[in-house]
Formats: sequence, C-alpha cells, structure tokens
Amino acid sequence: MKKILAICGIELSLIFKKPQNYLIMFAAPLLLTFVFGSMLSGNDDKVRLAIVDQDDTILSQHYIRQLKAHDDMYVFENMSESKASEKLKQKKIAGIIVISRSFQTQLEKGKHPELIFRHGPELSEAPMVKQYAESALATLNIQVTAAKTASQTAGENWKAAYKTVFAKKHEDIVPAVTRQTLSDKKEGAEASDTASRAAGFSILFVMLTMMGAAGTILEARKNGVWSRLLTASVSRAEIGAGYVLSFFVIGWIQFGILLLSTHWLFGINWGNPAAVIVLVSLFLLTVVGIGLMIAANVRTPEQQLAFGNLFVIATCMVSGMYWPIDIEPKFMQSIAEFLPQKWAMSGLTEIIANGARVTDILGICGILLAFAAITFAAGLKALRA
Amino acid sequence: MLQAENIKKAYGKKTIVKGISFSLKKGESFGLLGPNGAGKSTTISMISGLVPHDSGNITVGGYVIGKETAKAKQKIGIVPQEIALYPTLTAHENLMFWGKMYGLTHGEAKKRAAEVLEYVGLTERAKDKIETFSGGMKRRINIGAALMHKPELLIMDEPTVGIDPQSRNHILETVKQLNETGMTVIYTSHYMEEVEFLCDRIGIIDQGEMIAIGTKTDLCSRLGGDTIIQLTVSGINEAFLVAIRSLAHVNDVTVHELELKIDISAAHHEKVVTSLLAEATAHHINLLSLQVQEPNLERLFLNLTGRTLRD
Repeated sequence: MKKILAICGIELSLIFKKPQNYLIMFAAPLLLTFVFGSMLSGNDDKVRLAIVDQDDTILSQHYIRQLKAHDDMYVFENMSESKASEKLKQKKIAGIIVISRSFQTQLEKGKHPELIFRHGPELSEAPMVKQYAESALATLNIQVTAAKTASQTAGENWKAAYKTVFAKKHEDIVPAVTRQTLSDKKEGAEASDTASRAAGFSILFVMLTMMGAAGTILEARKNGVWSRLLTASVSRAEIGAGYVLSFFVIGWIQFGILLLSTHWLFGINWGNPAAVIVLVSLFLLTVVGIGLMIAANVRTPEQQLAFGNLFVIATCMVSGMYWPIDIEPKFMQSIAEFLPQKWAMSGLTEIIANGARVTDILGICGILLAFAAITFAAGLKALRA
Repeated sequence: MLQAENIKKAYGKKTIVKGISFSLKKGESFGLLGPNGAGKSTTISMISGLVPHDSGNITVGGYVIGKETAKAKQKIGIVPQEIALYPTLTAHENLMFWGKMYGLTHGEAKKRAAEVLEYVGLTERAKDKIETFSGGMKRRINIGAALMHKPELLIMDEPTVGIDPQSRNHILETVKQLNETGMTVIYTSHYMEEVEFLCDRIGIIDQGEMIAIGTKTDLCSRLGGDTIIQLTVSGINEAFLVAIRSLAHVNDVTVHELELKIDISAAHHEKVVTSLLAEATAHHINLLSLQVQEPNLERLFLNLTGRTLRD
C-alpha cells in the first residue's frame, strides 16, 4: 500500500508542480462558466426595485410579500425612503414603490390606496412594473373585501378573518417554496444556466485533465521509469493501482475545487453532497478508464493528448456540456445517450435542480458504473497487452 | 552472488539469448560486452527479473528468479541506459521516491538520499530539478537512484552514454569505489577502456551466446591474436619484404602501398623489432615511424565477432 501511495504522491506532485496545469484545471473552467453562464442566462437580469413601507401594517406587509412571491422578473428590497432615493440616484436600483401611510385604512374603506412609483427615465419596463404592482394591489383588495364579508357573517373582526384565510396561507406557502428549491425533489425542474455550465465545464475540464494525466503512463514508459519500477520490488498491480489512484485523486481535487469555487463565485448550490460524491466518483472512474484505453492504444504522450482532447471535446459537445442538450438535433441527442458525460450531466442536474439524493439517481449511477466497468476493463486489458 | 545457467529467451520464433551461463562471486566486477542486438540487455533484463526467462536458472543472492523474484530484486540495483527519472522533480525528490519503491520508510529514504547525493557529488544540487542538470549529472542521479536500498548487486547498462569526460571519470571512480566496498558489479559498455578499468572479468556476448569469458589478460593472450608492428617507410623494395617475411616469429606481412605502410603480425614482437631494424638498415629503407600494437579488447572483439564494438 505504501508503494501505491508513493506512486500516487509522485504523480500528484508532477501535476500540481506545473503552473500551466492550474490554468487548464481551474482558471479555464471558471472563466468559461462565467462567460457561457452569463451569455445563456441573459434573461436573468431582473429589475431591482426598492419598497418603502410608510404604513407598516398587516396589509402593507402582506402586499410586499405578494410582490416578492413572484420573483421571476423583479427583485424587491425593503428600505427607507432616503436610502432608496440614494440608490436610485446611484442607479443601483431601477425604481421605488412607496406604500403610503394610509394604505391599510384606504383598503379597509374599500378605496384604492395610493402607491407612488418613482423610477429613472431609462426603465423601459416601467409600465409593466406599474401593472404588476396594481395587479397585486387589486388581488389584495379582493382579499380584504372577502375577509370583511366573512367577518360580518362570523361576527368577528375582519383582520382575524383575513389572517386566518389569506395572511396565514401566504406565510405557509412562501417558505415552503423557498425550501423546495434547496432540497425537495421537484420533478421536471432545470438547473440555472450558470449551474448547468458550471457542471458542464467541470466535466469537460476534468476529462481534459484526465487525458493528460493518463499520458504520464506513456511518458513513464518512454523515459524508462515504468521499466525501472518493474525492476524495483513493485508488482504490476501496485504500479497500476498507484497510477489509477493518482488519476482518481487528481480528478477529485479538480472537481472538488471547482464545486467549491463555483459555489462561492456564482452562488451555485450543488445539492446533496453524498449524491454528488457518488455520481462524480463513478464518472471519474469512467473517465480514468477512457484515459487508460486511449493510453493503451497510442504510442506517445503527444498522441495521447491529441486523441484524448479530440475525443473529449467532440463528445462533450454532443453531450450538452457547452450548451443545453435540448437545442441539439435529435440525432445528436441520441448519440449522447451512449456517452458518459450526458449521464453525469443528467445526474448533476437532478441533484442541483431537483434536490435529488443518492436513492433518486440510482439508475444514472448504474449506467455510469457500467460505463466505468467497460472502459476500465478494456483499458487495463489493452495496457497489459 | 549470481548464477546464470543456460538461460534462454525467445520472442516469437526469434531466439535472442541462446543458453548463456556465467556466475559472479560477491565483490566481483564483471564487464559484459557485445555489439548492438547481441542479447546483453535481454540477459540483464532476465537477471533483474524484468523479463521472464524461457528456460535455465538464475539465482541472485541465493534467491531464484521466477520463484523468489521479489526478494532477489531487493538485492539488485539497476542503472538503466535511459535517464529513468522524473525531470520536473528535484534530485532529492527522485531519490526519495526510488527509495520508497524499494521499501524504505520516509525517514530511511531521507537519510539515505543525503548519503547518496554525497556519494555522487551532487549534494549542492539536491533541490534542483533534474531537467536543469547536465547529461553527466543526470547520469549520476540515475546511478544514485539504484543505490538507495544498498544493493548487493549493481547492474549498469551503459551508464556513461553521451556524457562529458569529467562526469564519466566521476562515474567510473564511483563505481570503482562501490566495487571496492564489496558491491558486485555487472557493467555493460561500448567503451573498452571503461570495461578494462573497472572489470575483473569480461564476458563477450554475440548473437545470443557467450562466446568468451575470462580476465582481460587471459582473453587477450588466448584469443587476442598476434602483436601488430606497423611501419611507415619512405620507399619499399621487394628484397626488404622477402627478408622480413622470412624473420622468425613473423606470421604475416601486409603492405599498404599507397601509404607505404607495412603491418607485421608477430608472436614475440620484442625479438622481431630488433631484427626489423637491422633488415631496414641493410636494405637502405628509411623508417618514418614504428608502432607496436599489443592484443587488446578491441582487437579481441573484432577477432571474435568480426565486428567492432560500436557496430
């Protein structure tokens, strides 16, 4: 075991002592995630708006919650009027919705409360924002009217009826939705574009690194290190295990750092850690197997790099690592079914977007395990020959 | 220390080693000579357990190769022809790694690496990457890696190829010292003078067979042929040639007319030279130079294989 670890250690040193490897292993995938993630998620630029709640009553607070509940297009943030004005001046927000002091009183009286909407001249979406605010207000108005009617029938205060029927319901729903995006399984959901690109480029660059790493076997054969290892009291199995372990560890270090970096830099939530560990481990085994297969069938490290990179770049393209696979023609999507990257990507999407756990991705894990078994067996057989 | 009995190796239908036998005592230094493709490297590979032998027996330090190969390997240090090191790692890191491959603990490897660096004269370059070393320095670390586990048998496969004379001398001196401390050495080289300097006994391999084995003196006297006396003259006449051909102990006379050179093959050159000078004076031959070439390994090799060693 000590010899296996020593071989693994030396291979890690070889990889991490070359500064240019950091570029290909970490800088490039992060940069591409940023560029492609931003490019594909151009519609994510939501309008940032401030809400100034001068009334601060049950209804004004509920109104704000209703505005915030549908955050597809707008981001609302509570703040004081002075701070909001300052931010608008600095163009850090696009506009301000001011809820006047008589908001609840007006609604109680069945009147239309005053809403002030201030915005800069460049806000082209202003009419839509206004309409959205008015629509939410109209909903609130209906709810208040309904609560008042209900309270008259039951002989209680309308506020109690409102809380029971609307406000409580709303309080229950909002947190439930938030929690769902973090961990609860939600069929059919998709990861954000940035998360998808982070997963795609992590897979791509881990594969590229593995192709280069597997080339060290050829390098060792070329410069006599492999033969020298065999003349030392190290068995072929120990040498093979040392190299495979090193590739696996290198892959995990790279993937791990990319997971953490993208989490910190882009706020990507990678979901259930156990599921990620199992999925990535199986995928790495497959990639190491592919690397071994190519190494066994070429003669020089240069050929390994050329064939390996060609294979990785082409298959990652087909598997939807650079862009969503749905935009590809049907025949390419069919080809992708036979590529491990597609399954790794599907698994990661399930984990990120749907909060999948290990038990939820057993099928995908099984497929990756099969890929790993086939590529490993073929790689080791060819290498031994 | 080493017994090789009738070892054979074939790749497909081609037999590379055709039943070689030799043995080495502990502390002996043995030179293995042979032209390219003679079977030297295959023989070494079989002894070191890298390539399995088809038949015959090999024992190293009492352990049978093929049955107790792992134990035998612990007794052997191999210096391959290639620089089998990691160029982007330092000399110290390389030595540490190879020490660990021979089962040394981290502490043992660290201590031994310092000793080995001292031995090969590269302590000051310990922290430098191998890729920054000259060819000679790389070769020295290449040897150092084989010394990490203090082997009893050191096998060196042309360890001085392509290096400067200073490094070559350093390596030869190092190997000589190792041998003097009791380490058994097998040394292959294309340089006869290295083998003559280092080795007690010499084995010559050609076409997969050990065609001669013995000490240098023994081999030269038995198989090296006659001494060659080479004369360069300003003019040649037939009477002089007849006279020297009839001298006692002269076996052959070859005339290179264009160069006015005469090669005289003789068994006892001391007696022949005096007679030659007398005949030259008597026949008014003006001698420009006279050289005496005693039997040497180069000539021995040529006689035995029909080729020079570097062919």
